Amino acid sequence: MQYRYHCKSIILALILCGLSAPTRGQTQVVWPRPPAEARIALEDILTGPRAFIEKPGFWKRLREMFQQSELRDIVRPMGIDAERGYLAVADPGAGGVHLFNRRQKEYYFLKPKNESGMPTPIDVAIGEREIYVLCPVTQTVQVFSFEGDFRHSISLKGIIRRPTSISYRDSRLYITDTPQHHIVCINRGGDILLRFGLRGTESGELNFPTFITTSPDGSIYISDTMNFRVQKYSRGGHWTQTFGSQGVMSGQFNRPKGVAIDDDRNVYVIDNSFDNVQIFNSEGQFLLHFGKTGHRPGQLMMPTDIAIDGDLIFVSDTMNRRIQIFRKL
Amino acid sequence: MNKRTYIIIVLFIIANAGLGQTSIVSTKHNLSVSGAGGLKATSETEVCIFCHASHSGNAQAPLWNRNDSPTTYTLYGSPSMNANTQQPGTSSRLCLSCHDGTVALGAVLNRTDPISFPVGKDKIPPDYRSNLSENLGDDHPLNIDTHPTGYNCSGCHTTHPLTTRNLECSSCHNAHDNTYGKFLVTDPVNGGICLRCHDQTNWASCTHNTSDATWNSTPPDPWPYTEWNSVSENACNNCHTPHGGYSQYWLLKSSAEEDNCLVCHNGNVASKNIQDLLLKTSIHPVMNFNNIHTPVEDPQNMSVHVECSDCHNPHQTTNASASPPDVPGALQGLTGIDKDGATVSPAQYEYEICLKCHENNIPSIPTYVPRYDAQNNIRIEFAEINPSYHPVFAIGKNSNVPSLISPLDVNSIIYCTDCHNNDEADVVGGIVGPHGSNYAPLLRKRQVFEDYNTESESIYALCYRCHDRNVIINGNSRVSRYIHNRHVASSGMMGGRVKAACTTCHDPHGSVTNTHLINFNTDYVSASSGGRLEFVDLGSDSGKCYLKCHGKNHNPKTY
Repeated sequence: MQYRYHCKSIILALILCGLSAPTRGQTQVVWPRPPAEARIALEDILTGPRAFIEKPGFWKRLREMFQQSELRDIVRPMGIDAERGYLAVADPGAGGVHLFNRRQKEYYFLKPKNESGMPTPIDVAIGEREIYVLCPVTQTVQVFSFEGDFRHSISLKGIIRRPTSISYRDSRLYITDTPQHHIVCINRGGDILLRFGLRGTESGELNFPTFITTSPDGSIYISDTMNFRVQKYSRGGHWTQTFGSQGVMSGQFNRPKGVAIDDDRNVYVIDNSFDNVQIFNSEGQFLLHFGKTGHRPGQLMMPTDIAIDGDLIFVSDTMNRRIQIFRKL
Repeated sequence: MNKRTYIIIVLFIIANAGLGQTSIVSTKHNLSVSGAGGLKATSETEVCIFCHASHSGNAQAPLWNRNDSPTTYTLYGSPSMNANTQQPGTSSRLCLSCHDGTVALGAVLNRTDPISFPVGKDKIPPDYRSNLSENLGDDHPLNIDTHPTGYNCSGCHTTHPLTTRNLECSSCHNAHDNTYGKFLVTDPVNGGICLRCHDQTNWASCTHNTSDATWNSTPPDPWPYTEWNSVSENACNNCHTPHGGYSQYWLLKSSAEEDNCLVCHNGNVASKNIQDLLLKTSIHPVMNFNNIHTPVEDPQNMSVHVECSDCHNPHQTTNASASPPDVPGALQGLTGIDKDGATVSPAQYEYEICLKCHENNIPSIPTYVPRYDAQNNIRIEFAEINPSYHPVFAIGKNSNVPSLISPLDVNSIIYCTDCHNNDEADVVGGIVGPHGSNYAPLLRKRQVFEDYNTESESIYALCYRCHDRNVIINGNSRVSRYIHNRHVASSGMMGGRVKAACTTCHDPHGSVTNTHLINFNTDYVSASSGGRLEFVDLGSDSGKCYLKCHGKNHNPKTY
């Protein structure tokens, strides 16, 4: 028992050191399995900023002596967003949002100034000029700059009962209100622009919706968790399509959570219970699933959210305390 | 059917609907749309599908992999799946897939990070007091006799199978039945849930289990997570919160250890206000340390710190009184260091608890009186082999102490707290205990250590608490007349010309070399003209001193 425990902790220590070595000296982790043509490959595993950032040069180090640069490891990642080379990870376990600037190899930890953290930031959206962090406990959207400075706070009191997910598109913020089973769209000032969704099982109706995402053409995709499906709406809030149903077979869901769209309008859906990602094409046909239960590279443990930036697919692998990065081949 | 039959049928249906009281249909776990807010009897199967996935054979073939047949996903993992003790186990995953803050409130997830994710944890460390003699996660008890008595199988093994034998959500919660509230498997009042597994010594008589003290509504709320309003109903929840509070370990509500105590022991629940005592000038500074104390610390090898739980065991404390040197109820169940320097657990005598930290001099506590025979070890100062000591460890050496105030006599034993205590301890209703005093170092009464002060009842009040002032300075013995009256008193033979303090000659703990607690204060007392600094005991009520004090040479002076 002792030996096995030590083995586990060694493995855990290796993973936590950010030593991701899925491609070095090993066969690449791909889906589907050979001999089928590989479509998705595991690219990297992110556990925190230490392995990510560049070693700072002299002047940067000097500046950092006066600034409060903060490096925090990923603890319990929930909602994520990836856009234009940035990756934002809402981490209630660490009490803030990890912002990775992948192009400049910079890292910022977003939290309110003078506080050790923010209580339960559950989701984050990357806007054109700002980052929006959704905090259900304080019922606010906290707005930060891309350099990690807190800008202001948008209050959701009276508008939303308990927000769960946020998505940004064309200066609008789309937020799911899970216990009220509807979606609210606000502008950056906090004014309500649109509200849609009713509790029910019919097409267009919702039952405990959780995650939301929007595509460049304005379509809204909602993970209708307790109806075990993903529903697509037009930008005006009218239902257009449904993906998935309840069950244990391919193309079916048990606990759909995060959803993301790629450049070919394929729909990627995280199943928190199956520990995988299922991919559908824009017609609703099932294409592939990848990921399975476990803690090794390419395996997931209760993943929550997914985000796509170009060819890279980011999955918040919640109970494994990491973000896994896949590439669409 | 006639009208009567109809009525009977309707009544029957209503009665059965009423029976749905404890079924999942009438609880928050009924996530079905049709059951929401209506009295109509929802079919139970509609409710089940939210957690129990049906095997509908409606698979789609994956277009990106023509070779793969439609896959069935395994819902319940095997026990070996739990590769990492920090991962939730199989039945807990089901709870967490909604209770992560998305579908439902995520408050069940640990607030602190990343240590101690309790779900799926293998075992409580074996040296922790709360651990059962059998580890829950390890070997299943083979012998029924060693199983905790008074519990049946369903005490630990609940409706959801403990497939990995670890602690799971289902150890305490039954998602189907909300009879007791919060979907708990049994009535949580008075520690009902916790005590099924946690076997604390002496908990049955502990005040935290039995007291019916209530909160007087002055903030802060000592019980923010429960609805009961008495200490006994809250029991474990007085200090612990099962999903994790803000402390680093032990599921305590507050991150500052003393805050877990002071939230009640500030007069708002417990009648005595300890919090105010900590505002005095000389205190045990519990607020200066954080995350150092552990219940399994080795007194022989620990860093300087003090917390409430260094002196009080919250699982065993009672109101029982005791006589010196025995430990009273409030100090029951603690580790200590005995008079031989060995670790003792539990400590039997009050001084053992004090010695645990104060055996060796703590650098941050100043030396109040520099002694000729300086000792860095309090245990050595009080040792029975010494010629004199205050009777804390054992009965004193001197059989002739006429100044003792009844009921004290030469066979008495005293507590450390007879001298070190709250300076209001002897006032009616005063709180007894060395929490804080206005007189350093935590003195029960005022005691001045400096010479040249006019003697009075009040400046040496600590010594006069046990030693009669009149006998000391106005008695008939030679000591009284030639030593105390001459050197200490403000009137009398020398008319108050010397004005020495008690502590100038006497060391209140003990003297390694001399009888009568003689151990000169080197600030005032130096060697005589003959180069000697010495007290020689010449027998009953007689002695001589070689020293120089206030410029006056004693070479020797005899009484």
